[in-house]
Amino acid sequence: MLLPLLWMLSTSLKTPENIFTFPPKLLPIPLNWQNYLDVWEAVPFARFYLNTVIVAVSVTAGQVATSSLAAYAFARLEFPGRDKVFFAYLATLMIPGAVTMIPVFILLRMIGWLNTYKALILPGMFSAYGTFLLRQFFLGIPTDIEDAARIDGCSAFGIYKNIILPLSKPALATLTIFTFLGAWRDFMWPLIVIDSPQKKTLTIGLAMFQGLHSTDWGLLMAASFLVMIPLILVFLFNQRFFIEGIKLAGLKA
Amino acid sequence: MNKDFRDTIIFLSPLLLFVSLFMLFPVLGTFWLSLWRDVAFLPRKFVGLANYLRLFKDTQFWQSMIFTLIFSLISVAIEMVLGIIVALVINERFHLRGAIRGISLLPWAIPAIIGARIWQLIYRYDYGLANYLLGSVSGVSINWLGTSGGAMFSLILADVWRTTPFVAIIILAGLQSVPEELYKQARVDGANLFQRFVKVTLPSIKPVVIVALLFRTIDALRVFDIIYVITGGGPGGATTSLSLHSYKYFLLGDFGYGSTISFVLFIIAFALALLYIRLGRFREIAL
Repeated sequence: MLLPLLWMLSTSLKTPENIFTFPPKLLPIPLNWQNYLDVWEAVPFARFYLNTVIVAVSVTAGQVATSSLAAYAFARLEFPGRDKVFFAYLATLMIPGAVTMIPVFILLRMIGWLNTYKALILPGMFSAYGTFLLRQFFLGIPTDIEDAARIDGCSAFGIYKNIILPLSKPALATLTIFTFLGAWRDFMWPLIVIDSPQKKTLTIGLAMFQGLHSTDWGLLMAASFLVMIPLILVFLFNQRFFIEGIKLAGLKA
Repeated sequence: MNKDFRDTIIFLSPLLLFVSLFMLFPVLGTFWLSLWRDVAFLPRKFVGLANYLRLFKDTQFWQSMIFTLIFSLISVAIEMVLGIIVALVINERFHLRGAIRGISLLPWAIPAIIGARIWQLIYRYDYGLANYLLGSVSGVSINWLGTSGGAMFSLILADVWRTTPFVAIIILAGLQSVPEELYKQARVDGANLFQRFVKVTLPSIKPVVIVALLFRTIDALRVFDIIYVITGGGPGGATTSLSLHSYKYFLLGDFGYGSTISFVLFIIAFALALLYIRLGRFREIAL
């Protein structure tokens, strides 16, 4: 499992002449930290980092907001066809991104939003998975506190904000982490709507380390490692949330 | 106006707005576009189902279709089996379990495109790690990405490496929810390890297995990132997935035909999803 990642780390620390040798040198000796410094000079890497943070944070905030609001409606409010609408929405999980790609591209081009943060953020502001996860969690919260609050004149939005959300921190944490990882890793969508280097995210910015004729692999691997660090940290420190989150979604045996 | 109805509008409208704009209308839009000749430098023209007829003559489309189905079938099958095994192992109590768990699930956290670059480096014919390791055991070297079979194998391996952890995470959650008493009871009844797995574990985790299968299948059918990086669809179009085929027409500015391919992908994904949902009684799980 780890071998490819170690190979990447090793390559990122090699001197250029040590990268392609036969037999391959397993260890990066002499150690060469230069790649990790050059990354920031070779391309607007800091800019890509900033863009990715902006996009990932906004998408995450947006998804958590739209999902939790909708999940509350599906779990607590009475309206005709509620469960049918929910399942129809859940079915959109089955729709591959490539299916909606061209019309969304045309729409964004029409309103002049290509190469903007809006193009990166807005199409990612909802998630059937997130709504599903939170709805399942909300259904598991006992209703007696809400009933009391309602008698005291609390509005639906007040109940959502003051009772449901505070009680749902574990599920919200799971969704936040899932969404953040997903947004950070996204590749196909930025590839389609962005070509200005000013707005590139890390995953598509990495391609700039590949020259027309040759690729500086040491540099590319160093950059890739820097892209991964936040993900590795978020994942390793929160892995129990993933497992808990799936259990919370009621997918238990 | 009814108060609950007003609340429903308030709570659902943000979601409905985004879903309509970026999911519902685009799916319909894809179908609509597929009925037009919409290419760069030529006037748009309504052509009915002509684009769908064009699919029949497009040999690359059929090659892509077959590649996508075979790739999905093999990689998902391997990932499911390995994922269940990994989940069973890391569900046991042992020393350093937390660390081992984290490490074995890690490949899933990294971007597909980065995993793909590492594999690209490993598969290099001349200086790659794969040929070095293989060569030191058997003395042969393989042109991993130069033949269609080799490229398919390489992509499947890279995909299995990255997404087995995803399956394992979901199955692990299922395993942790199996009541301990069931195992105790089976042990009292004299069931051995294998019998306990077949009679207790497997039926208990069936719902999560279906969910993992569903997610993985849909995800495999739209495979794009790793192919874009590792083989670029080659050699000779042998590993061009449907998504990549559609993307190539998008790049050419042929939105009509690109949409046609996308819509076919939608139909395949939807048909498979319906099948799984019937198999797994997904509705019951969700309710």
